[in-house]
Amino acid sequence: MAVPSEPGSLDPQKTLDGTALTMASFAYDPLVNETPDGSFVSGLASSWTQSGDDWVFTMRKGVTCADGSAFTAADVEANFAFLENPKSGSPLLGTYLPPGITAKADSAGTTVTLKLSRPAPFFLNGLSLVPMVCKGGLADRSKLKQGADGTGPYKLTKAVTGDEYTYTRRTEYAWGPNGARVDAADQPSKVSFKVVADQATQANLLMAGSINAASVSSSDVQRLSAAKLFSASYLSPIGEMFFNQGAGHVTADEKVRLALTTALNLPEIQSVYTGGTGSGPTTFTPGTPAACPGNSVESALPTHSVSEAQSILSSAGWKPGPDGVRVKDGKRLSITFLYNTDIPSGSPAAAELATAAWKKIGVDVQPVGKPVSQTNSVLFGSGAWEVNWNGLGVSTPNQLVSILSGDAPPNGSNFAHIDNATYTAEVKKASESSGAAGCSNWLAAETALVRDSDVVPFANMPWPTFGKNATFKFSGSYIVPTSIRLTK
Amino acid sequence: MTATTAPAAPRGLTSRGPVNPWVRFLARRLFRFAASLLGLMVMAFVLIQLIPGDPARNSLGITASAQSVAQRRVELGLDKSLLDQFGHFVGGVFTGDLGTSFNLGLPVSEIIGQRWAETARLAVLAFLLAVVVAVPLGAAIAAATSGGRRRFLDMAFTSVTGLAYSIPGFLLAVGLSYVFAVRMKLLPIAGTDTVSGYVLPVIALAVGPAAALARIVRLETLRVLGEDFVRTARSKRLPTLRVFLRHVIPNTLTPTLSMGGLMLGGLLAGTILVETIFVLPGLGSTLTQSVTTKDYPMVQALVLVTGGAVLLINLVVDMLIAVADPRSTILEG
Repeated sequence: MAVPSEPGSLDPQKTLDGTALTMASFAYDPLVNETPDGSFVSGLASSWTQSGDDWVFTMRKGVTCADGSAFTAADVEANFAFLENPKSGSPLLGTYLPPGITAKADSAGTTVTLKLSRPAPFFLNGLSLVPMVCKGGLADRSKLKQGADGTGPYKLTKAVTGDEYTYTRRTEYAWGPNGARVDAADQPSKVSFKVVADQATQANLLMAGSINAASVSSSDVQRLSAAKLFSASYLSPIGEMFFNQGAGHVTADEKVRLALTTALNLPEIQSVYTGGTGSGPTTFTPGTPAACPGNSVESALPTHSVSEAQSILSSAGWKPGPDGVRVKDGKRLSITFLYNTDIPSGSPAAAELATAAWKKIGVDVQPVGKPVSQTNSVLFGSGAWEVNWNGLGVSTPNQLVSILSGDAPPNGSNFAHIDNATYTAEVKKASESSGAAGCSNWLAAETALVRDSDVVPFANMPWPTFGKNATFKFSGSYIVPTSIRLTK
Repeated sequence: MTATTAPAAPRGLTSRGPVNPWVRFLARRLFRFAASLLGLMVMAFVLIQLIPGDPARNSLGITASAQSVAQRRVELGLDKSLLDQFGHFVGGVFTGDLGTSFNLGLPVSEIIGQRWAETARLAVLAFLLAVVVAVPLGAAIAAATSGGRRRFLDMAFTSVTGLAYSIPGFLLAVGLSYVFAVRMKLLPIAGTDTVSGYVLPVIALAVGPAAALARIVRLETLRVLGEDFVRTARSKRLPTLRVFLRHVIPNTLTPTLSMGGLMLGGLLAGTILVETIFVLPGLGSTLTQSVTTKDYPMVQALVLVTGGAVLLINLVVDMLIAVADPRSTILEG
């Protein structure tokens, strides 16, 4: 299987890197697993109950780590002691896990109680993304940087940094999602992750049968599709438009944001942006399973109209200047438009379309294309931008709260300086409910952001992983290790 | 060759003092080497800082909490002042500690130790291929076209080498891979599990430098063929091969060596894209990844190691030139 970049540290509780977490799902298990239909099934815990802020998990019997030692409730307690300690620096805290959880194993070692200090919507969703580490790894975390110590269906048997990581099947494994195993004849005895940075090379290797799977998002998708290879994909919210509402930026003016949005033919932009493979978003978290199915976006988006966009700007006091660029109180309507040059591949062409549309309504646009790796430094560092196209790929709406509200950088993650009272109020109500029970409020919160042009979702795109002589399934954005089948 | 066995001092050097010119030459070269290395260290530190971006935010992504990012900055030592970070870097270089990779969490020296051989193998093989092809080719073309003969061959050679030199290495790599690996299935697409895996990357890397070197050798050979001592040798009816081996080739060595040194240095840089395309886990692909992830210690060490290697190659080439042609002005510079 090809991966596009080095995974970095393999410690599964110290990374949010997609490659590292994909590999971690082969060597580690979570307490519970989420299925593609959104229900939760057993993982390391065979069952669980909730009573107020207390969640009691009954541990599955017979679970062993790759080194043969037993995995117990006490190990879960130790995992949470590490995860919840801010000094540990686990990025999973605050992303998948709410702060303030205390874990306590019972004396018999059969159950562990997680006590929450505050309401935690989508708590099980978050838990399903938190890999549990075994005793050895907890005692010496340096072992985990380029090694693994988990209960997963495969154990890491070879790691050549920057080149290849090989995982070998554990035939005794019987505690996958709903008791899934990996001992069938058509399941791979070894899974190797080969670092192949170049997408064309990934596609070539796949076509030649040198590898069995590769996630390809470039123009090579067409030739792989034409070759009728197996593919599975997950839907990614790849196109979301943000406006810098920090003091001094013209996009702090809601009318300017609305005009910029109205000027764009979003379906056309979406089609170019995704190379014709995408679709218009309906919520902020479109993945499968969708945390909150519904449609918070479409009704809140303005209808595309160049004349209406011009009219909005005129009514807001932005009058055309001598060179055609609108001016208000001596300030020109100038924006720096920051977009990714590498992902998706249609991004530069779509950015040209948007730039032309904005110029047509009297906006002075400075398009700035940067690779994804450099975009964050502008958003969280210099702040020299007015409009940004990005994609916040999260699985549940609560993971977006610190990005779409609260403190701006450097004290917080709200890089667009969004301050939407309706969003905050709806999130407060939603956070008091558990899981899907709060979805109406979560969707209302998203609608408030779209209506005020704080966030404009405009493109979802399926992110395909192609397979040759192999099939597999996704849960969220990760391949399910127990789902892999060799077909030849 | 050492100072004690050195040939007679070059003209003009003896008047500068009693110190042996070879000692002066070596001292100057070693001083320049050390000064360049120091400059390289400063540049390695400063340049990576100029690339915008926060390695901590970069490693955790846009959705990570501000607290996680702040904690990661502390873990990576980025909360310290730039002066402290520079002091730590320089101190580490002198004690052999190049730091710990932000991305991999492993000692940088360990990672470089694992990967340098792949890059060196690739660069040296490409260098040898370029020399083996270019020197005889350039000399043969010069011999065949000297005195204005065979103009068509001369034009064909100039056109082909010009074209070969102008094709970017990565484009050639992609093209070679497509034709010989994907379509014809004659060679592996990627990896060096077998010796045949080196064929395409080495060719992709060697073509440009070989073309440039062949042109230099041709020009130098033409120049030497017009010298009086060659005409004298020919007039004595010495065999052509002997004239070439004894009188022509040795006199083309200086520019060929100079070019070769620059070429080997350039080949190290050329491995960056070729390694990425052919999936070779060397220093080039590591540098690409490290710049992307802003892995400061890794980039600083790689710049230092590869830059140091280029400086070392140039030093060795200068010494070889001085030994091969003691009359050359290199001893004075």
